[in-house]
Formats: sequence, C-alpha cells, structure tokens
Amino acid sequence: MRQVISLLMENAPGALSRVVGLFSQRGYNIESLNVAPTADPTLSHLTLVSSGDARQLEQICHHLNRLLDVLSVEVAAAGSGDFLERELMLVKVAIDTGSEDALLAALEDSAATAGATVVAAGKASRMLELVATPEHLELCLRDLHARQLRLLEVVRCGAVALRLDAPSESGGVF
Amino acid sequence: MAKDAELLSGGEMLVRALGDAGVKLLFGYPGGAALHIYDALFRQEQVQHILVRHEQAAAHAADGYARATGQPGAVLVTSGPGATNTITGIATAQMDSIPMVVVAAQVASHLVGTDAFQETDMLGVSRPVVKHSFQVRTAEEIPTIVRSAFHIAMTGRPGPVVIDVPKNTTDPARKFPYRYPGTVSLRSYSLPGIVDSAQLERATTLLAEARRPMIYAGGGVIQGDASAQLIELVQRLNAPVTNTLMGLGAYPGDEQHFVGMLGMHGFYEANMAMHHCDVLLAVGARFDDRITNAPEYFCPDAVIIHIDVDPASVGKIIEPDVPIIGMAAEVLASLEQKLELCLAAYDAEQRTDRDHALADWWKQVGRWRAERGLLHGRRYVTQDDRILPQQVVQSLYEVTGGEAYITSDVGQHQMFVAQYYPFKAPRRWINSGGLGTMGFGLPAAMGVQLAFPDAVVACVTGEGSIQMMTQELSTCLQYGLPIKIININNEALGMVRQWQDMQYGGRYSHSTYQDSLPDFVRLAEAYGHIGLHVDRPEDLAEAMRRCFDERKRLVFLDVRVDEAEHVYPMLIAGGSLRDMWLGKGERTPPDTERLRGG
Repeated sequence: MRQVISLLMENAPGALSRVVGLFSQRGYNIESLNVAPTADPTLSHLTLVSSGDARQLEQICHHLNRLLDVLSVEVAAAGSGDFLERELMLVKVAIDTGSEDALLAALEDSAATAGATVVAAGKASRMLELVATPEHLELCLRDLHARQLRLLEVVRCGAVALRLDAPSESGGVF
Repeated sequence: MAKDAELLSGGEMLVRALGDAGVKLLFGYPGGAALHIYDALFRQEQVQHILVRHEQAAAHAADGYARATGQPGAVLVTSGPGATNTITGIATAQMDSIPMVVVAAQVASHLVGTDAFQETDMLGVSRPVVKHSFQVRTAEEIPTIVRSAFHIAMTGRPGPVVIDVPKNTTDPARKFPYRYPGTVSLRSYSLPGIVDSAQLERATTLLAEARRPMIYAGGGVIQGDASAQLIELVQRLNAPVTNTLMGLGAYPGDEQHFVGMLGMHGFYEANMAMHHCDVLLAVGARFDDRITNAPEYFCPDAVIIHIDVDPASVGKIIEPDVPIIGMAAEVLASLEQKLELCLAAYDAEQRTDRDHALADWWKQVGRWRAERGLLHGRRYVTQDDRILPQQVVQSLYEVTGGEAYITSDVGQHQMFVAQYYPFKAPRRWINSGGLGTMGFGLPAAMGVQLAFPDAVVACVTGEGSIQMMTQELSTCLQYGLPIKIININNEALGMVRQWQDMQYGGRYSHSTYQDSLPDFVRLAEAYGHIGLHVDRPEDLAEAMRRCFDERKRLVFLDVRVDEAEHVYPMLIAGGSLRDMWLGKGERTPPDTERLRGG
C-alpha cells in the first residue's frame, strides 16, 4: 500500500537528514521525496511517498513527531482522498522522421497525456512538461511508449500533497 | 538602563553558559580544536573539569553523575577521535533516556568538509543516537544553543544532546556581549500535554475491578522522579509490583509488595505473576525484548494500561488497551486519587469481593515465592572450596547495609546484583540496561563518587568488563575517588560462556583468556590504589569488610569465583514469561494449553 506522509518542518540544516535517517535506519524504502520552503521561509513542507508495512510506518511517524525539527506529521493511504496529490514530470522525446506526427497526436489527446505541453525544443528532441497525480503520470508514460515515441530522459519531482479541507456542498475533489 | 552585557569570547561564553545551565562538573579531554575552550576553563572557577583518560569514560562518568543526581551530565571533548570516542557513551545514555550534553569541538568552519586534521562529521556520526544536536555557526548563538540543549536533554523523555563547536566560533580575540537566555523558544519541540482524563477513568475502573492486578515499573519512574507516587499507588491498590532492570529501586526492594525484577533473568515470582495477571499497569517501561519474551504469548489474560511520557514507546511492541501519555509522577498521582475515590464508593459487598480476590491473588504469589522465590530464600547451593558470584553480592549487601550506590558493567555479575542486592531507593543502581555497554561501570562510579564525595560507591564488575576501562584507575587517583571495585572474576566472559554452555554444546569460542589475565592486585597497586584478592569462601566476608573499611582510598577487590555458575532463572526464547530455565537442565513445565493451540 502506498502511503503519503505530509510533514511540516524547520527549514534548517540537518533537519532533512534527521527525517530521512529514520527511514533508512529501519530499511524502509522511500519511493519519492519532495521538500521545499512554505510561504513562511523558515518552514519547509516535505512530502514523502513510501510503500511498506503500515504498522512500521506508524512507528516511524511517532519517531518523526519526536524529532525536534518536525512540527507536524500527517499520513494517509495514497488515493484515500485525504490529500490532493500532484507531481511534475519532464520528458525529453527524440524527434526523427515520423515521430513528430506521433508526438503531435499524443499532445492532442490531452486526457491520455495529462495536458502535456512542449516547454523546450532542441535539434532532435522536444521537452514535455506534465502535471498530474503520480498514478496519472504512470499512465502517460505508458501511453507515450505505446505511441512508439523514444523517451530520452524522464525526470519526476515526486508527489507533493496537501490535506484537503472537508468538501463544501458545491464542490469536492477534482 | 540595563547594565551593559559583559564582553566574552565564544570559548568563554560556552564555559559561562555551561555554568549558568547548572553544570558543576564537566568531564572531558582536551585537544587541538578544543583548546580555546580549555583556555577559557582555566580562567574561571564556576565549572570544575574532570580529566578522564579516554573520552568514552567522560561520557559514562557524566552519565553516572546524571543517573545518581537527576541532573544532566556534561562532557567536553575535541574534534575527530575525541568526538567519536564518546559515541558509545552517548548511545548508552540514549538507550536508557539519560540527560546529557556533549560539547564536541570541531575544526574551523572554513575547514569543515576538507578532510582536515581530526575532522569528523560529528553531527552525522551521532545522529542516530542523540535526542537532538546543534552546530554552532556564530559565537553569538552559543548561550542560546547551550540553554536549549540542556532544556531538551532534561524535558520530556530525557536524552543526550550534542553541540558541535567549530574552533573559529571560540576565537579568544573576538568578543561579544554575553546574555544567558531566561527562556527557551523551540516551536517544534512538543512536550506531553494534558493527560487524557477518559483514559485515566478507564484505567481506574480496570484497576479497581482487577482480580489479579500487577504493576510493571521501569526506568521512567526513576527518570521521572515518580517513586513516591508509585509507592502510594501500589499500597492503595495492594498489588504486586515488579521493576525492570532499569527500574530497580523505583519501588523499595525490601517491601513486601515487591516481587523482584522481571524478564530474561527476572525472579520466578515476578515472571509468573506477570504471566497470570488480569490487569497490567506498565509505567515508564518499554516492553523491550528482554522483558516480553515472545510478544504473542506476553501476559495472555491481561488488559494492559501503559503510561509513558513518549508516544513513540506506546504500542511499539505490545498494543496497550489503555494508552496514557504523560509524566509518570503526575499520572500515577491522579490514578491513586481516582482509585481512592472509586474504592471509597464501594459498598460492603463490593469491598468484600475485592478483598477476597486480592487475598487469593496474594496467596498464589506467596506459593510462587515459596516454590521458587529468589527474594525470600537463596536459590544457590554454597560450596566449601569455591566462592559463588551470588555470595559476593550478598556479602556486599551485608557490608553496605544495602545503602550503597552500586554501578555495574554488563554480564552475569550485573544480573547477580539485580537479583541479590535489593535496592531500597531510586538512583542507587546505575547500569547500562538498554545498550549493555561493557566498560560502563568504573567511569559511571567516578561520576557518582564525584557527585557524592562522602557516599559509599561500589562498582561491581567482571574481569572482562573492567579491562575495557582500567586506564580510569589513573583518573580515580588524580581526584582521590575512594570507589570500591568488586571484581567478580571467573576468568571467562561469563554470560557468553553461559550461552555457549546452553546453546553451543559447551564450545567456548573466544570467551576465555588462556592465562593472560593480569594480576589485578598489582595492577591496582601500580595505579596507586589498594588491591586485595580472595578465593576462599571463608575469607570473603573479611575481605569485603577490609575493602569498605578503607574510607579514603580506592580498593580493588578481586574475587575468584566458580566459573561454572549460571544465572537463573532464564527465559526460554520463543516462549512466554512462564517459560524459564530454573537451573541447569531444569525448566518450568511447558504450557500444555498453549502448545495445544488453546
């Protein structure tokens, strides 16, 4: 089960290694990790995605709470609807005879490619930018492969997640 | 107008701030990166520095000081090897939740990361074994960092804190106004809040209605200064109480409700009472693997209440039915008050019913005590020609009246003290329970003796453990520490040997020394102390008396004991608390019900 940990911590040297150390010490694998300052530059928001034993994760969360640098920890199963998740992916696609058309077709099918846009063009490549949930990005990659496009490089930032407020009557999660 | 702050260098501020944090004794060892600080130490009288012979000993001595006094220990070492040598001491303190601040000098900031001489990433090396750590970036932050470090070390679940101090921040040429902060502001450091009253109510009802209540109290009761509250609750409840190795002394070892230590080498009556209880109150204890045996068979009939200051300790091994997060003293006091009210409201019938249930329970406990009890009768058979290790501890108890501060190392001798020296008060029993650090005993005794110069302090050790720290005999001479070292010498790594006897067909792989042991009497004398040797049972009491009659000098009493002796009871791995070896080849009857899958 994929678990998402959303954590608020001091934006200070050493804070991140203390957090990450708790996972590595227990042999717990981190699937993705994203850290950046919040609107308050003295704080950082960290989103960590991990798959593993839920009980062990609960223990890690207790220990995270015990760290001096950590202000708050929230955990939820991925896709449980507690968090809104987004991830940015950059894809460099090779362009040669015929593949430009395939790429254009892919971009037009915006549902399949999560509204990907070309953000840079090289002599023999195009760079795409995609923003979606981590699961959706997986499908996009599969779709690009299925269209016989040659992907030169793929880089993903890891999920960022923010707790959703209780939905109002007029709207919920989209 | 406020008086202008005094101008001090970083090194001077560090020493002054340690003094202002309440440090009286600073255990340490100088070196290049720490020399500005050492020069500042030389020019003041607020903080007394104790020069050890190895930095690991500095950490253990500070730890012993902290355990005996309840005040944080303080350590000062240089960078590189000075810092890394403290790691075992820091890990020892972390495992047993001992408040300590370790100031480790560091190479100058511009050299950090260049593989400079005596450079080690101390923050990185120590990270998994500290409660928190700081690196000083500018001299001006030193007072605030020191203040915060001591606050963190002492509050909540106590623990060691490291301060990494680059040499340039202690430069004597650069002075800054010194102000020791009155308060600490750490927005991300949360301490236990209000105790959950619903859980308190549930716990009260469970305890009042228990037919076979049991109290399991650990080191948290000692660290949380909650002995008085524990005693009151035990008396109110009239329940048997057991202490962990770390908790010994939390409840008076000579009082009738006390059933001895529990766990791996716990008393028969303690382990049996744990296994058969119906309501278990755990306080300041962490259900460690030396306590529970196989967690799936732990206390099968019990509803479990767990009081701890640290949420991370609750539900880690055993999921309690009633978790209570809070300070032991506060929670125990509230429970006692609520219990008093609850029992006072009982009608005559309820009262009689409860009294009968408890009387039956105590009758059962009495039967276990009579059958196999350690506390109310010796469980070993003396011999004419060999001294048994248990006899050494009993002799020590008789000579010191059970009132001494006892430190120990790790192994059989540690367990024999835990079994045969019933501690009457907290903070008298000082040993490395969690990490199990050999070499802890002597430096810890130094810390205790320096804290209480007039107290009787004994270090019970073995010829294995003491050889990890004999260099500290020199420190003891320098500071005139009249520690009594009781060396239970079986010429083997006793606990290793016991396991090799029981599980490895008696193959003593590297647990003996083949006639290479030093003459401990002459070793003690070489360091300027008194050495005594005894190997006949009839001479033991006299030797022990001579040892403690020397009030002013360190005495090293080397006692040659029977090497074949094992520590019993011993839990049988994979079973429950009622599965114990009681002697060589003799065990408690197997739990047929459990084996049938019942």
